[in-house]
Amino acid sequence: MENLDIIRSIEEEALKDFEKISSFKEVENFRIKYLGRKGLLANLFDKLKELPKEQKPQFGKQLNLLKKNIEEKYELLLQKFPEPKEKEFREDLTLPGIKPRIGSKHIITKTLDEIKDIFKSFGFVVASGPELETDYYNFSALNFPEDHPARDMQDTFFISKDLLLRTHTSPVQIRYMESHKPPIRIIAPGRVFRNEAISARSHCIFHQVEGLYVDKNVTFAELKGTLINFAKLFYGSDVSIRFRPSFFPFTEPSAEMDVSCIICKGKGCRLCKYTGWLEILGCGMVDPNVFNSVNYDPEIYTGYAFGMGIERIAMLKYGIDDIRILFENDLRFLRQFKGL
Amino acid sequence: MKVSLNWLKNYIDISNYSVLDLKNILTNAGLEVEAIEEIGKSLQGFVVGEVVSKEKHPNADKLSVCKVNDGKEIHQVICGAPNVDVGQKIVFAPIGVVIPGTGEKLKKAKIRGVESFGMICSEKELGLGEDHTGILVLNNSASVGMPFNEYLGLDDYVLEIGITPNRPDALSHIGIARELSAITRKKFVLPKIDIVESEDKIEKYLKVEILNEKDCPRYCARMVRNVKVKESPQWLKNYLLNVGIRPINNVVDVSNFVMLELGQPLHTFDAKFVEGGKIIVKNADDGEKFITLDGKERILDSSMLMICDAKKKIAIAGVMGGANSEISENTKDVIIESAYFNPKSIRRTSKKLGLSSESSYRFERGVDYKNTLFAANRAAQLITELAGGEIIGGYIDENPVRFDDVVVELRISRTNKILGTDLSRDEIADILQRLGISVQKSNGDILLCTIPPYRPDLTREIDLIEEVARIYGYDKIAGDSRVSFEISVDKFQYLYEDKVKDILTGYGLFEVMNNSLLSEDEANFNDLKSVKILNPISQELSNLRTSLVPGLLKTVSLNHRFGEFDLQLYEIGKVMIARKEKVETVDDYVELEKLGICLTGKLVDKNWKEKAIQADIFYLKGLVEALLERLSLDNVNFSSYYASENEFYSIEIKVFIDKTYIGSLYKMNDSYLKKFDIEKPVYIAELDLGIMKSFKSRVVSFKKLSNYPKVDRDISFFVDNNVPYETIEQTIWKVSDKLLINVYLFDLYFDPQKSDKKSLAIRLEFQSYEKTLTNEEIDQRVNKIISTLETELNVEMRKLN
Repeated sequence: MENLDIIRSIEEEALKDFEKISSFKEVENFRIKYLGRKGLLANLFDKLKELPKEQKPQFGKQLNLLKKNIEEKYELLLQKFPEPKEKEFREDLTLPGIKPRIGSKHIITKTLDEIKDIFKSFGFVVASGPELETDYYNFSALNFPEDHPARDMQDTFFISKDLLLRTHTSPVQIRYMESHKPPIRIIAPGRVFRNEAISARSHCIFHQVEGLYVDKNVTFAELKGTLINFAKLFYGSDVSIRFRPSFFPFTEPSAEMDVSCIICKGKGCRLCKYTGWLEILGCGMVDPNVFNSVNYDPEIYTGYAFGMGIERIAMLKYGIDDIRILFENDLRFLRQFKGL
Repeated sequence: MKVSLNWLKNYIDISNYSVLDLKNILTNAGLEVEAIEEIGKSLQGFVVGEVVSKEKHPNADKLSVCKVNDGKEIHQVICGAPNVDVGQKIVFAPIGVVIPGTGEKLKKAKIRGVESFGMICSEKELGLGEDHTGILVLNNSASVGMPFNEYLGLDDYVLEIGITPNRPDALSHIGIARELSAITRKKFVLPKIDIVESEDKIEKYLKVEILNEKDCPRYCARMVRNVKVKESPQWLKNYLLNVGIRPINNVVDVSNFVMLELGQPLHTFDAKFVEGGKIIVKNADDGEKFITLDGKERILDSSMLMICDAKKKIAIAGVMGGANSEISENTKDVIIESAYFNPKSIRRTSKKLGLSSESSYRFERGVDYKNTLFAANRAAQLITELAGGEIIGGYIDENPVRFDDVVVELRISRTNKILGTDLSRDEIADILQRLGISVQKSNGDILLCTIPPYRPDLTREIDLIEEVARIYGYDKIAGDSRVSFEISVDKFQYLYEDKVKDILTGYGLFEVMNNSLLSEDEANFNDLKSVKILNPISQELSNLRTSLVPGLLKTVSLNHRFGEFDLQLYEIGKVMIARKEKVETVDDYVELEKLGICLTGKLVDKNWKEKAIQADIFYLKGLVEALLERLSLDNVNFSSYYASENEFYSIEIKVFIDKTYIGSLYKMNDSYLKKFDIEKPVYIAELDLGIMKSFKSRVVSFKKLSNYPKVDRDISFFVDNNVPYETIEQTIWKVSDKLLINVYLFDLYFDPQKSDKKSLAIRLEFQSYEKTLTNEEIDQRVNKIISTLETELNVEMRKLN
């Protein structure tokens, strides 16, 4: 091959290599291949020394031109793919991220929020009432006659003859009806109190959500429909639901709603005491005597009410077996529910 | 209430139903079966056998080789008991049963070369007693092949039924039979009573006088003479034991039996101790003392109804008899009392005395007032059957107050309207009749229903509608999923509490919930008066909280015990503050909704880049400021001072909106924290959410943006320690025009060389809506600020590098 052709072919090769380069490492290889001490150009300069005198000027000129070109390319490549700085090599991306603080609402609040969201989507609004109540709102207006065994159903903390800590959220029904005209559709969450020794199973404080719907033509069938839909939204659409007769002084007919056990799916296990069912809420049609207490005409209006204990629902849902832990606020407990 | 199925079978045929069927039938009718107890379960498989032959074991002196007939076949059994003999009726355990005494399963065995196929059992092996000296020999009348638990009357199921307070009619076996009959349409039968009376007349021996007719509308009595008080027969003892009643003697057991059979509580007196041949029903005197059957002295008052003889009290009516007239082994003549007492009177007495009995439990719910004589007759009959003696002719039935039959009108249309059903007149009438309600059908919409006396809970139309639904079956009523509701403005809510919780949770705080009940000492935080509970569970939980602070400190304390020292918590809850020492009415206290925020330990842990940040009062203040900003509350002011000598906190910063106090930020006092075993500083804010809600949030509206850049200038100066930052900032604002848009303190430094001075570095931010500010314009303003600070607050400017 002509010596000049060699120069041209090396130049072509270098251009090809130049195009392919995509990292500093390849830049380095490029330098070694062409500009290194034993590189292609060094090789050609050695050749130059051996050439006859008359050929030297032309070949030398072309060779210097080639060298200049390749050096320029090399500079370009270095700009494009600079030698990585020492520090970046040291950066350990597996180091832990620096997190903002994570807080969480209480599991009772979260469970209540879930219940509230469902009933809000059914058109219910949220109402509330005092925790320290009068005998009238907690019992008499709700059709608990004085000296009636129904009052034994709820062990009560008394403050005075007429004042007590509410044993249920049902007084909110009375208060709300006193200040509003039908149609009424409320849920009333809140803290309630029972004079019971504190144990794994029961506590002197807990929380309930009360529901009340009053309008013309409200039926027991609607009560069932609403609560079945609630249960399916809350527990999943595959849950079975049953209603069985019960007794509450302020509703008639009264019912208790059970859902199929969330652990054994109705087959029977320790949680459901081998019945296959879990008692979830009490409900019923508003008793005419309750309407009489708030001067609603029971001939015109009918309604339903329901109530459920939030602790029980949360404990069943998350497998908490001791109610006391809910009010101890052990951070190790609170942290477990941050992801909900 | 416990219901024995063996007992129940006397009144209704339930042979077609399994125990689980019965459980479901009753539960679905509102008589919730809470538990099923299988009596004699451990004795299943054991049968009554007969020893048909006995030979000496060829290889062992003390053993015998017996042949036992179990009614089906003959088994060879090796027996080591000395008392085994031919012709005995014994308890035979076939191969495969579990021996209760050892818990082991019985296997075929070879004993000294002879095979044994079963076992003849001792009392101890059966778990029935301690005797293991020999085998249990049964009565010769025992029939071979009979299951042994049946022989003992222990082949029973007992249903534990939760009876709601409205269903006194279901507090007896007859009541349950009646209910099952209504649901299943199977007939139920009352026990047949056949009484043989003597020539004597009861009037000769006993007169009953009712002085309080209102509380005792009816009083029946029967007398039985010459009884022999002794142990009851096994069947009666088994019935009572299976439902959890301790047998005492035949007479007392009969009265308990009749109560559990018919629902009518009875009392039996030893006639010998009823003086003057008279029973007087009247009220007690205030402060009178009386010793009841259980040997306890009770202090009576004039509201309590008593049963008395001519001279003394002999029973607390409907609650418990007296020790002075109880049946004993020496009793010869018995007076049987079967009465109807006013439920309210019985309940009041029982509550006041703190004394509840099976009897008061039924009376206060209301017994069948038409059933009193029937029950007395039933008891008289059974006593003579079991204890001998003779029934004295005639009975006493004082009935000063008679009750009319309760008649209720039920509208078919109303029934369907409430239930959302489409039941026909005939369906409804049929259900009611099955419940023993007599129904007079008219042509219109109305059914005229006469309520049986054992259903005092049925007095209104709605009560009958419930009965219709109950027996028809709640599950047969189809759910209606349509929901229609009016849309109105007040129906859309984002609850204030929810918003506060969202904000604080977002800042990395955990929500906690503490008990509202505290000890008196804990409740009186900050010397606030607390509301006391009249009937507390314990002194630790006797008062209502006046503040969220003590609860938060308890939470801190608990977490410290487990090595969790970095806590950022909040709680929203009600507190009660008493206005009077003794709270009687709603005016004597206020109920407030509070927000508590608690910081302690490290707010941010040290990490591989940065140092830790410790909680302190300024982080708490900043958090509260941020919260109030997020709630769009303006005009927030903090006024602060160091509290002197307060036992609860060492720093208090009061928070105001406009001029209204909404709460305080505290650094808790070390000595107060010690009470909770807390050794690290704790910072708590407590704000009144109720008041915060009452302030309107600022209406957020868009403000035009400036098109020109903001320019920052930093100034730094020394100033006397006693000049508060607030004054400095106010001074800056005072001498500035609207081009100053922000003042930001970014450094505070105490130079050890200048102990009475502090150094502050402040960033001043300027911006115009009209133009880009020139250096001269800014210099002019900054210089004005500096010169004012120098003259008014005596500051000494520093060079910033």
